[in-house]
Amino acid sequence: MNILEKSMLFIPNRYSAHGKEIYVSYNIAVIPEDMEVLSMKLIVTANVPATGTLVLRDIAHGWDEQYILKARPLCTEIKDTVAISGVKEIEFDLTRLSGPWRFDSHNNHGVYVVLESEDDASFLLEDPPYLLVGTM
Amino acid sequence: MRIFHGKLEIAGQMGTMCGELKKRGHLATGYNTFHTYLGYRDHLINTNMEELVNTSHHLINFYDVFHFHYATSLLDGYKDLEIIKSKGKKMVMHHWGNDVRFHEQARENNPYVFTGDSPPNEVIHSRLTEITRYVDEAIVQDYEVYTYVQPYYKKVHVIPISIDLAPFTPAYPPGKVRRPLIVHAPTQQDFKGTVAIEAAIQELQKSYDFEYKRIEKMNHEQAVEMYRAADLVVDQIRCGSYGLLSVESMALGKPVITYIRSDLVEKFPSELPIMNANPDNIVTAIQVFLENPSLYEELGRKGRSYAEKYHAKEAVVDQVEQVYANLRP
Repeated sequence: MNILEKSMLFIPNRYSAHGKEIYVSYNIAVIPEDMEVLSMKLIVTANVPATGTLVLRDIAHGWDEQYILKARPLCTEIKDTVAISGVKEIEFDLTRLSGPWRFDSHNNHGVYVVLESEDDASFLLEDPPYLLVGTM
Repeated sequence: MRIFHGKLEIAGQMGTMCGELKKRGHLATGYNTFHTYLGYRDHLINTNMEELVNTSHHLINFYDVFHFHYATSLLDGYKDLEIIKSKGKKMVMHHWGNDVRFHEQARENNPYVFTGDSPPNEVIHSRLTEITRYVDEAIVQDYEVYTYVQPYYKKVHVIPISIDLAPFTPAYPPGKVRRPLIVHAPTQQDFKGTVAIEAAIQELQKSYDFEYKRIEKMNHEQAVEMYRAADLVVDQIRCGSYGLLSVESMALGKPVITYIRSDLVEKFPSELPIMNANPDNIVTAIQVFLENPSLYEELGRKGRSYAEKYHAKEAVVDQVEQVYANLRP
């Protein structure tokens, strides 16, 4: 059995993309309780190969897709950074969030990702990031 | 390829196909809003209509291929189909029987059929008409279902029910069965012909020594363990074709009794090892086994070979992938 076959795929329940920024959340509370989560990876895709740094923060409170530009949610301090060079698809390990997102879903507000780069790369609403949750 | 399956899990088919598609490197998930005691969950997200509707715009953006089941789609009134088509994405509708079984048409070749689970004819017609404004191709599991939808679609593919054989290690009945165990699993009694089956069982118990078990109200995994102990499985004797229970029983190496309509027999592979019986001759069909115990193992072994050849998920998904590849956006 390969890794993908063992993984559950999640598409955002909320997603907002504006230029180099995205706000995204997933409802993983539907994972059956007797399943063990072994890993959780967020895969974000830029519209063109990008070079720079991706910065990820946890979103600290509730937000709405429709009003995101008028009411941006607060975020935590930087939780992860990934340096990239000429790639479109970037992966973050979010395994640390799998427990809280599953069992305390009311406080699951997702993550904020920003691409710090000088090039024209950006994120598109038409290409939502996805979550691969490895389960057993 | 990114492949959406939804939104009703019937007989574990979405999950089985998605598992194999993922194994082949596709990003595939089945979204299920139909929750039953059968408890299907592999390769599925068990969700609800509200969440599906609320996230439909992201689902439509993310996936490349939309494989819908049971005449359903994401939004009420099939409003999503136009959006999906306008985005140049591929769609196929998978019909399973009760969603399209026109009542009078079903009875034309089958006096036994029960269509009480199907919507009224005009509802079926209306749904098919609306769906085929945007969806050109359909999949059905056999020629019993094929005839109902063929007039509506540009192309209908006949692809058998799929099964993951891994958990179905064969347990062939022994060559000399002493006190046979006959099982029947009436998920829908009227549809399967449970009354006639159990009447036959009662009749035969007057003359033969065997055990009978009705398997119901247990999740799928528990039910499969019960089938494993059986010497003979009686599936559905009114529909005119066979379903998942027959396939699972064959995979377990069990002989199966099901009714295959006489006009459909030649549409199946010639080696189909099912004992054909309807409510009028079910007593005789069971009696044949009771009188000839060597048949249990003989047909059981043939059934396993048949399931491996035609129903293994690998064989089925080979065909499904071909359909996806050739769909026009």
